[in-house]
Amino acid sequence: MSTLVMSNLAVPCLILPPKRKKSISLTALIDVVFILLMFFMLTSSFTQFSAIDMQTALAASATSELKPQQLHLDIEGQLRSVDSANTGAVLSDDMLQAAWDNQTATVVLPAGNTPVQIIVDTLSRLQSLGFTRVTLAPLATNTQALTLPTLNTPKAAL
Amino acid sequence: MARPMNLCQLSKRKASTDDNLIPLINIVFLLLIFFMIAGKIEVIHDAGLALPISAKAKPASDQPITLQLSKDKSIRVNNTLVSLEVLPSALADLLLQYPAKIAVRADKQTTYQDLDQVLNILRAAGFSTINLFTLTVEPSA
Repeated sequence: MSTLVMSNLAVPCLILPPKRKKSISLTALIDVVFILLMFFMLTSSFTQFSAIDMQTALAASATSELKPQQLHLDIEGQLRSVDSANTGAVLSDDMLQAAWDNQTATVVLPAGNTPVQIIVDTLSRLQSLGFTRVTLAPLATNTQALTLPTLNTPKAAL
Repeated sequence: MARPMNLCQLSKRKASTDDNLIPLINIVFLLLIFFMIAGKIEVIHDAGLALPISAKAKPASDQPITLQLSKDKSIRVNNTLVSLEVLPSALADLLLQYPAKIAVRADKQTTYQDLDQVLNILRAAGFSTINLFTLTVEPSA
């Protein structure tokens, strides 16, 4: 009754329901949301990393009676055969697929000054050709000469 | 001459300002949800490192121990600078706390000679799994 009476007064908007909930101001809300947005924008990373698994010889369980194939990797990223008849020949993908057994253990011998990018590219290349047992081993010398290296114990297998 | 504003007008003006904020807050919320879902919060390990690029490696999982090898041959283990001489003892300490798995983040210009030195030390320290981290790039069509 009193509300009805009051609503006819000159200032009706001053008459509010007695327990009306006060809504949150959007300005304060957007302040908080902006801070959260800034936090997530600055800390989020969209970079995707990959990894090449390298099992050390201590952990590698597979052993083979066969003599491993050896490939020399130069700093240009070219693979050359070491122990076959045509020593020193640059091996193309076709030659690798035709003449090399991709199930036999393969030892890649990078030259000492080969960048890691070249090694990663080569490992990816061999992987795409179906080589499953690829091992990295250092050349006995750090020169790029294609001498037959002393094969060290394979240390890391792809 | 400006007329004094009564409380009713003030309240209406505030309400209309808030109404104008609603599209803005919609967009900001959308951005916030995008960054929350699509982004990944992680420790930045690669300050100053350009990782090798690869398209065919398997997705990497973080390892408790991370070794960074930069092209100037400086080595960092879990973001702590160590020398090559101190590296075996630093790794031995970490191996007491963590499993024998390590992530190696080597700069793409690092030579195999330097990488090989580090791999030798890792092998001697007893690490069973070494993950050589690369940056994934989608192959262009």
